[in-house]
Amino acid sequence: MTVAEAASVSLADRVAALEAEVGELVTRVEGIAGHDGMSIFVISGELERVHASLLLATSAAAMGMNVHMFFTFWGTSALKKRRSGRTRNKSFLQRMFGWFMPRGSRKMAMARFNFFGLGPIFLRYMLRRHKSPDVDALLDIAVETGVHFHVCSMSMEVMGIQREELRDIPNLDYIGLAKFVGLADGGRHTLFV
Amino acid sequence: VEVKMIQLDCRGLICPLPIVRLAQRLADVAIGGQICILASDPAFRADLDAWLDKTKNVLRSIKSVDDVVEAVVEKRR
Repeated sequence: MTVAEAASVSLADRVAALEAEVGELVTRVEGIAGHDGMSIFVISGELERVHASLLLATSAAAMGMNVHMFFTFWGTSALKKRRSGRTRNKSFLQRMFGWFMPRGSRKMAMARFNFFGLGPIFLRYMLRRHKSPDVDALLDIAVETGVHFHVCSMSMEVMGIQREELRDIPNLDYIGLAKFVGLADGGRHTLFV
Repeated sequence: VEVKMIQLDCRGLICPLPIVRLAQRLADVAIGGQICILASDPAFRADLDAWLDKTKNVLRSIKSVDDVVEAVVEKRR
């Protein structure tokens, strides 16, 4: 191999390496442009926090964004039905959790001004007077506007919450944290509520 | 060609409902179709601007009478 041949081979190698790198960068930039999403991690069970997270989710969906809400731990209360069907194979502690955890937003407490449950009743009355949706109505709007609902499979397992206890939300699935991180990675905004 | 315009009355609704309703209604409209929205929420004008900016839809006309804004929005995509 002559010196000139060696130089041209190494040049071709370098060009090929650069091309591969540019290709990878292009895919990444295109990915960023398409990453118009918001992911909301809802761990709190206070009524006003869940309410605010749903307002934000529906607004972002109205802005044409791809919105993912991940409900875990106390946040799962908001998705519970007022009356669940028969549940099976719960441990004693899981049953206790079931008794004490609010079944749906109507049973959820406020962080402030709760007044033993009177606060949320007044809040709902005030919202209704101003034609503003409460949490249950916002859940419906979120479904209509295409918000994706996810529940933490780990919470469901540990707390013993079964699918029959959750509202019939069509686009709801059980996912794990790796999936949530993956979804969050697909958007520019991740919120922890 | 006569363009059929959808009327959307959001008077009395507060944030974020006017924008949410607008987005929901617009989903039923073909590209090039228009919606005439009435809103009385004081934040509506600012929210509408941000929404138009983000969704790339176009404002055809806007006027306000007393506290009510009347905006005509054209769907672009």
